[in-house]
Amino acid sequence: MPSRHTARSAGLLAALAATLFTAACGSGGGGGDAADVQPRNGGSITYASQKEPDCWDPHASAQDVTAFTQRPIFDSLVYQKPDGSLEPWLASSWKISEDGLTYTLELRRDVTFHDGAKFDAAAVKANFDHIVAKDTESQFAAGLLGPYTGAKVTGPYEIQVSFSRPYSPFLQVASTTFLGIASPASLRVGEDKLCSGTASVGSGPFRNGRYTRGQQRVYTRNADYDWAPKGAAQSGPARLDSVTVRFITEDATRVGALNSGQIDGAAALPPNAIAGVRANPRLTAISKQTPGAVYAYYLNTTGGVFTDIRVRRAFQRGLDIGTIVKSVYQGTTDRAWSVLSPTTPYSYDASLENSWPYDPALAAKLLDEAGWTGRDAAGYRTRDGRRLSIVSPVYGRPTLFSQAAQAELKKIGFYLDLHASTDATEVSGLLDDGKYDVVETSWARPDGDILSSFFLSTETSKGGGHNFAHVADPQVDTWLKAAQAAQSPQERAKQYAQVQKWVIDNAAVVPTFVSTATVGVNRKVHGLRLSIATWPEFYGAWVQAD
Amino acid sequence: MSLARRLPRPGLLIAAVVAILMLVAAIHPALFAGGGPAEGDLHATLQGPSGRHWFGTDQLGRDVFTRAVHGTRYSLSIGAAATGIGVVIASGWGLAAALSGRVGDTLLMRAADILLALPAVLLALMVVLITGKGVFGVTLAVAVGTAPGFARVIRGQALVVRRSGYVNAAVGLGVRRPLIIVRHVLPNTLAPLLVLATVTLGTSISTGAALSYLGLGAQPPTPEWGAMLTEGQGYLGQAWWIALFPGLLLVAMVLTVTVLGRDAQARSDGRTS
Repeated sequence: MPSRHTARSAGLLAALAATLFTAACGSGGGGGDAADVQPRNGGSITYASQKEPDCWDPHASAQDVTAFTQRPIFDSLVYQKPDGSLEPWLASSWKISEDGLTYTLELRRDVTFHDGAKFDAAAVKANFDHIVAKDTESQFAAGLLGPYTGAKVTGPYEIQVSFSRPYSPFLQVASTTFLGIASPASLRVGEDKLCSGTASVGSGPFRNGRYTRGQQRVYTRNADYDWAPKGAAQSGPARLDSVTVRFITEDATRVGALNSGQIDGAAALPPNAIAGVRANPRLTAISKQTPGAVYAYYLNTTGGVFTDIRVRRAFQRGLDIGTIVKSVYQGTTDRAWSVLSPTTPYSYDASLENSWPYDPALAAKLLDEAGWTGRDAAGYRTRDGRRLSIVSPVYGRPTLFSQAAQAELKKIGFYLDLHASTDATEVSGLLDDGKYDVVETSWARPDGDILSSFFLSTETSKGGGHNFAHVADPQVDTWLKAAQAAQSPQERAKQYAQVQKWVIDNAAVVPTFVSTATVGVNRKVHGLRLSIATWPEFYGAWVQAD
Repeated sequence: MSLARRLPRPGLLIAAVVAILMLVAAIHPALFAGGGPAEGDLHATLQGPSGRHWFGTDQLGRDVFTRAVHGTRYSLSIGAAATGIGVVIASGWGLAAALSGRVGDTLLMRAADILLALPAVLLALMVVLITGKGVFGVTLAVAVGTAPGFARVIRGQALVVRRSGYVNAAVGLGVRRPLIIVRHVLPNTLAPLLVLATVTLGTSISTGAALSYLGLGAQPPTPEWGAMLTEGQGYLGQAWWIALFPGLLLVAMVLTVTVLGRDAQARSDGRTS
């Protein structure tokens, strides 16, 4: 399916281009200090996002910003609390069949969409059908459903979702905005309109308001809302009358607008702005490490210089990751030891920490053994007159990390060729054809199953996956599939730990730093907390009177 | 002629000295700055100007002075190459207009009028959309931006030369038309154009840097001044020196080239004031 493939490549490029990294670890809740003020209803806030969705249909788009900006409008079947645990939302309960192939969901009976339509099993089926429909050209949601075979209405408020093999990530997947439930009537208006952002009709605490492309979108309170999950910060209708999300891509402008009080919150504070925001008595900063796959270099194990594991290990151990992260990100984030972020629920293998420290002497020894013993005029290592050059395709601008790594790698003799291009077709072509040595990327997802899209042998770039390291190991496949089949979080964690260790031991990946979301907030805004996916949840927020 | 009249003005002298220094820096940056522009010390990031780092260090611990010196090459060569390409395009354009009869002349000159109506940066932005980002794309874009103005000058000059005595004589002697154009018309139209090109060089340099600043030209970690301004602007509150010094050098280069160009223009017009 070339069109779907192209679309998924576009999603990947969006991730590759995600240089707007932000920082600092710490608590995920916050907003203002509410000690002496009482929560109140009414008022509005303006929040600046650093990106704007290309397509507003969460069933079609792969962009994080689509999921964030549509969360106030669309509810999901399941809710994932900021700590990662799952609880009922639009589905009041669920049963999983013995063989793990069928999920039977009981639905709430008191939910109404913004257009007045009743929420029921038929509505849920219409949503699943829309996600997998060919016309939707889903870049992400359809992939999240994994071995999905279909949804069947078994009662007015009961639906069965089936899979061809056990797929335990389903409930977490059902909690994402990508599987948000839209009013069935709204899904029939056509993909162009859904993507344009004017036709979003859900059942969430806010309704779709006025949208001006390139500038802002307004959300207005849904006064009928009464079906929030228990773990939400609020029950009943939202406290705010309206929320305005403005799109300010330029870091300095966004931070300036926050400092001057033009906006009440700002996403993606750059590392060098965080201290300034924290020092401002009117502002505060909330940080949370993004769950999922951290920023990492995926090494092409089947082509070029990295087919030799000694060269891969030299790259892994010869790069002073800790120093780069500390100086470039000014202490606002942590270096990564595993390909998974520590905040990925029930998955992170902490035993990898400090297990592969910086060791330039070992790197030099490995490169000598591999035959890269010569040096050219510029100081790079050579073998048979050929420079030890590694190509890294970059969509857009190289990350600060990669720019620093380029200079650092020179010390051990690697030439990191940052092949930056703004031609999406060119970059996805290089990835699909394996014409690279290393790919730098990250992918936010609050579930350990993110490992499947990076290391399952079938998840090739050409097929829409992210197996850039070209890992094709039967043992790894077995672990990943066993994790998908296991129902207990402990069993899944055990399988994921084995995968995390294997990819480090085999130097298929070099994790670099943990992406951390830092949001700047005016202290007059209270109750704003970051979701598991590190986006602010406006539902529980309120603003104190001036 | 008194001695005072022979001596150049101080402004001109300074400009000449700066121009020579910049030319040397562009050709052989190592004479001014020892290290490489991409080399950084991660333990010494965002340090202010000091005896060790004259222009301070940037977010990757790279010496801003070293980068600025190496950047001379990019700004100067983008400006010079763009102006050169502009002259070549304009020569064909202006001569064709002057020598192709009324209809061709009208068509070619109205096309130039339309392009001249657009600001040079806007025109260059549109060209970059076609050529693509990068140093080459930006150079071509700036060249296209300068060509219409040059073409008008060439056409006007060519019309004068075409009616001159030596061209008439060549026609009378039976010299073939292409030979007349190459041997007589072209050389005699180019002289005033070269003066104009020198004056335009400053504008070309600043337009090229502006496009790089917008992220359309040289990409990091290339030490191009416009790109360095972009990198530095995010740190203005914390480390002003990252953006300030490349900006000052850019101003100095544009002023220098403009002063020299104006002087050349004045001399060519027969004035030495």
